[in-house]
Amino acid sequence: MKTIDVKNQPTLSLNRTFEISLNGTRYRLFRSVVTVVVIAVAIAFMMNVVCEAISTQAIARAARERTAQQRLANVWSARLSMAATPEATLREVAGAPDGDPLLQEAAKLGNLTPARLQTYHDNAVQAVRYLDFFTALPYATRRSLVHTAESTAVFDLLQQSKAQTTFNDVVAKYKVRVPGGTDALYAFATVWGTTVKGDTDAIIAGHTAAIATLTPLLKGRVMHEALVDADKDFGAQVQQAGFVAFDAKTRAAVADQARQTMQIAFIEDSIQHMEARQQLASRLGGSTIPGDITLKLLWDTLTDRDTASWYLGFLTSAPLKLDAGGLTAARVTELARGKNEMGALDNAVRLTADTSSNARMTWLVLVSLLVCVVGISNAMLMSVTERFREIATLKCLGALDTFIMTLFLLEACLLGLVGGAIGSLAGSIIGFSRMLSTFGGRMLFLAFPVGPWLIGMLLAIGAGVVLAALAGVYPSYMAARLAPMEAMRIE
Amino acid sequence: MSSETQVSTTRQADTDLKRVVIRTVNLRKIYEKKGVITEALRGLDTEINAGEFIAIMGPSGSGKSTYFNMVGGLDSPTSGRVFIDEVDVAQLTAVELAFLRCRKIGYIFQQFNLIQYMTALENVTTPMAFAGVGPDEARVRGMDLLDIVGLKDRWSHRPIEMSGGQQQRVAIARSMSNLPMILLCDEPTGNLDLKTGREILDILFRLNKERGVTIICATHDPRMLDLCDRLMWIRDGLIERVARRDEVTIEVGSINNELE
Ligand SMILES: Nc1ncnc2c1ncn2[C@@H]1O[C@H](COP(=O)(O)OP(=O)(O)O)[C@@H](O)[C@H]1O
Ligand SMILES: [Mg+2]
Repeated sequence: MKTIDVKNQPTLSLNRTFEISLNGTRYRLFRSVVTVVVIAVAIAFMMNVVCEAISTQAIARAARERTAQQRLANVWSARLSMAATPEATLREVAGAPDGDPLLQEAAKLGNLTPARLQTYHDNAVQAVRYLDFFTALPYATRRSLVHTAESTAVFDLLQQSKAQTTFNDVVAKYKVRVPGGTDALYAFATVWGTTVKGDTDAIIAGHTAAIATLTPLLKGRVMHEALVDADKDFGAQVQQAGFVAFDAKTRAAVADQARQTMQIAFIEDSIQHMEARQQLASRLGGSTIPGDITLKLLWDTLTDRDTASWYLGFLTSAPLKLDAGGLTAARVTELARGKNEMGALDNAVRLTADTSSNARMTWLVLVSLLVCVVGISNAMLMSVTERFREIATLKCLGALDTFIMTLFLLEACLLGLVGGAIGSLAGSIIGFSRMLSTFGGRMLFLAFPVGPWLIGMLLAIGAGVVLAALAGVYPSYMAARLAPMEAMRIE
Repeated sequence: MSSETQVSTTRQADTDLKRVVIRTVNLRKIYEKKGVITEALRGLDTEINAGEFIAIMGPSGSGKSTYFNMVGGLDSPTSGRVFIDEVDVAQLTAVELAFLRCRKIGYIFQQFNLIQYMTALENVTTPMAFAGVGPDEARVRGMDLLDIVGLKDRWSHRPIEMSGGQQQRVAIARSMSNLPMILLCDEPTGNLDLKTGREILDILFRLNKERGVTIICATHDPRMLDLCDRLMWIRDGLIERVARRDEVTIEVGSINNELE
């Protein structure tokens, strides 16, 4: 008796499968568009959150860097007029990288040889590590460990064996994790007592002496005012006095800032004069009265070059006849614009100061991911389940299970790709425009996180494709495994 | 489409009478849904010879579709066996089953079951693609098949752009795309009006006579009487009666009564 020889079925080429998949997607355009929109919305939500997280982070970093720079004059004014504490000295040395002028300065002030400076630097790093550890401890634990000793006094205390015994007991009792172990800490305390403390004191003494030599150079001014001349002889003399780190570059920057501070003070002080207020109010016109003139309004007005020129002219001529100290209208406008930027920076620093926002961002990203999973799987499930009859029919025609899976996989990937691309773009636009209104365009432009944004885009599109593929392939796999008639019965 | 005129002289079924293409042995199918057990087939022993045109008659719910699905390898029986060309269908792997459905059997459904997003020609050539036929050859053969069912000039139409009868004709062309030896039809005229139904039956009749395709047709269309070689009545999942057409035509009046 003749039997049919049942051979293996050939697999359809990927090309043909893709053609069929594309054909079907085009035919069900409305359905496909709805699915794409759902995927896009879910991905957009996620991308929005991601964009806000990365730009907040980038802006926070940029704002801190820039405000730190702008504090340079303040920092030097303090360094040149006040003796440092041991902890501040240690931190300054520990934070300075190799070759930093601050290290040479410390060496010169404390009279240390280069080798000794190197050792001192290493010890300072150690010391800062321990100081941070003690600062981070809860008050009660700290109190039990070292009693009332603060800052570097803990090193003095821990040289005594009696204090060490108490320390050991408390460490065991509260299971405190001392970095590097208690023995290393005691060893350091001994080193502190023998060399580090002495060196620190020497540096501080040198510092104090150097400050004293500066007093005649000030000519009666306070340090902050004197720093206006930092890029002139005064600055060089300061460096001569022992402040090695006060090099030409720093001096120029400090002088610049000091001048700027003076100029800003000059403009801001000007509205203490009633005449100035009256003139400004009448120039602004309308219902503005002299009492309305605030600093913010003043700076806003001065961003206009003509107004700045007029105001400067008014201040320097009768009746006020103030000394503008070489201030030009162009400079006033520049200051006014910078003032606005400073406002944005301060704002950014304030808005990003909240450390709990990091945890909240992580939480939001997780929630948005969940939204994506639910939204995308729902959309894909719906578009697959309404096609069980098609799957069954294809099986009747001799389709292999792998063909059906590939068909649905390709289609899901296509929808996921398009939805992911649209969604991540839309999410970025929404996210960045929200950041734009929060931090201002200049700030966002300065700190725009290109790298993280591109990575976020890729990840979001990838998430769209992967989620859509999983959510599309799973039900089609279930349906393809069934006998055709069972698949056809599923409604 | 006038197959009324005398077709072939020698009958395939007569020359190759003893070759059995489909055999079922004690075929049972029990559906269970939410605790309700339905015995759709209660032990069917049937034999169908190559080249035969068999009509399976019976009232709605008698088990015709269930029998059709078992015989076509579209669903698995609860017990009993189905042999297609002496091959036990239950022994086949998923891939072999796909091969069987692709080349040995053609299916025609009451609801046509065309792929909505494909044109008539694409619907007809898809099974050829599954069988590994190249696109160019498939197009030529597909057009020939569409010509046979009289839809050559509508090859680019999608199912929604066609009437029920035209869709069913595309389905017939599709079922013939890999020249199967068995054609299974489940109420092929059930959704069609009388005249269109007649045209479909004519096409099936010609395929049977001119190409020797074995046709198994579940129906309760009385016109099938004129076309088929044998009739099989199913009632409540059991074979009620099997008869050759010439035995039946005499009592045609009573059968018509039975159907009403
Ligand atoms: N999927 C199913 N689940 C439960 N019962 C079913 C199912 N399919 C068919 N049946 C039952 O099996 C019997 C036979 O059905 P069917 O073969 O479709 O009859 P016919 O095609 O002759 O009208 C009917 O009683 C029907 O209710
Ligand atoms: Mg039925």
